[in-house]
Amino acid sequence: MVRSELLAPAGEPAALAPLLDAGADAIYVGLSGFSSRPQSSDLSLEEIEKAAALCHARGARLHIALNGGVPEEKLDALYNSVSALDEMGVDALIAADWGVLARLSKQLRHAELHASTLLGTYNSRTIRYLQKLGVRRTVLSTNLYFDEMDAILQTVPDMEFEIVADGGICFNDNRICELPHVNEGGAYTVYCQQDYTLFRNGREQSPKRSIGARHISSWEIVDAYLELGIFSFKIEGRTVPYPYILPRVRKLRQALDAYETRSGRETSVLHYLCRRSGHAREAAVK
Amino acid sequence: MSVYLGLTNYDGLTAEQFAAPAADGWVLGDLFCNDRMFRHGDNGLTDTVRQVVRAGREAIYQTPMYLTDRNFPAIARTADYFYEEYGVRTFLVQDVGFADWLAERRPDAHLIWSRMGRSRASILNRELPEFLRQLGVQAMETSMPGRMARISDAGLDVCAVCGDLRYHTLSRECYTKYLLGCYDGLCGRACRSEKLSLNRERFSMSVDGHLLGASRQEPKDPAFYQAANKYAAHIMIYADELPEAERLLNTVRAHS
Repeated sequence: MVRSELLAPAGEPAALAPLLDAGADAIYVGLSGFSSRPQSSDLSLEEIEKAAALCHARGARLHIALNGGVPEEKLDALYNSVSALDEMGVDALIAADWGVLARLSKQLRHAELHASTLLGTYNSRTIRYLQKLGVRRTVLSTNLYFDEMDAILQTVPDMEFEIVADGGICFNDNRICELPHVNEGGAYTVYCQQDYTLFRNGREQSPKRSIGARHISSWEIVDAYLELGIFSFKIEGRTVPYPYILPRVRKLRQALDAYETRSGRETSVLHYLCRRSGHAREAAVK
Repeated sequence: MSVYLGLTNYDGLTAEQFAAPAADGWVLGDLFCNDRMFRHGDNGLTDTVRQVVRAGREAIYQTPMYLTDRNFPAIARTADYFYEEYGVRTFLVQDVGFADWLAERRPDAHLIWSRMGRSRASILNRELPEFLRQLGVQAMETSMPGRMARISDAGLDVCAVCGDLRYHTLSRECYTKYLLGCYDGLCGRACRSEKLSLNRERFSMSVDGHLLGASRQEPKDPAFYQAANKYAAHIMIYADELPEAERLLNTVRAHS
């Protein structure tokens, strides 16, 4: 049986039970004061302790996102909080600051260390370096192509890998995008998703076009990612009210469960398409 | 104080022009695509490295921003080739894996963490310079006086950037080629020959290959030059064309 994990976002304590009921194997939350999301979508240490107890009672895991670089003045408070999180039994910390990650690799005693997509890991050598730092899981960059993921997974098979399976995938490098994300007249506007007119040497070209991709859902091709060896499938949206997340969790859950029941011929075709001929997975070829 | 020049494009530059400016060397290698920087792409890069070295100037190899397992071996071979054949000893890096590889492969190479490393490490706290030092990096680029102090205090060399690249957004794929489909098949260097822009009401962006809304930021604050002098920084001057680079060079010299 192929192991996989459905990792769902929670921006408030009330979201945990419904997300687990919908089929999440693990939940990730932000630590108040240390993530790049608005404060209202992060949990305090006390809330996280209760969340960890709830998740573990249900056989699920709890991950803590420390997204974004950490300013100098917050470092000491962060390390104190990390000690508390480690002792209270959270399953993993997701770090997005290279220097902090290196420091946490020496500090953590129980929790796993995961490398955020914000670190910009694109190649096997970087992932090997993360391994040396004790990282257990890498969240792959969203702008990697299939063959590039495949090369990484084949070169570093003893690392766990996670992808953003449901969320906003951007043509731009969304880690360093300066395009406005604004509230225009009550509507949230992401500038890359607006239509633009292309001018070429001063002359207008048609038709209008946007420069960003819409929301993506990988549940339709989750089989291909499982064939590659991706373990964890993350749904983005800590700031999204959880009732809107639940249907996405259920859909992804269905897709992951359906993989186990695929016919031998179907999975063999997928196996070939994913170029894993040298690394056959028994569960895929029936 | 060493001074290095880096242009967006080197088409038509002669050996005499590489030797003429009162600069110690040139930054060669595009962050995204060598077809934009050199008439003959990767071959042009090699030709230009040869020209610069023969002109008696130092060549700094700027490695690409996006190094996947597809192109990592080729870039590694290029770095190795420049090291052995042309004595290139200084490399601009912004990929942790590549820095790790290069530091191990060529222990006497001088690695500079590029200003575009902010894509991988946006905040400069006390942990970052130590992390980079463990990685094998000896210097960091920055255009911000406050950061120069922190870099120097951490024991790394400061590379003060004049003409920092600013943009609205960027992509590992070329907007001109892939997003806008401006031509079929082979790259026609539309980024060099066509003026492209994306316009909507009250907002527009130039299209420059992998960048939207690109511009250069020249330091206007005297604090930049004061900090560069104070921390004995190497000066990195980036410009689109040679006349602009020479103008900035004169400005830097006037402040030093």
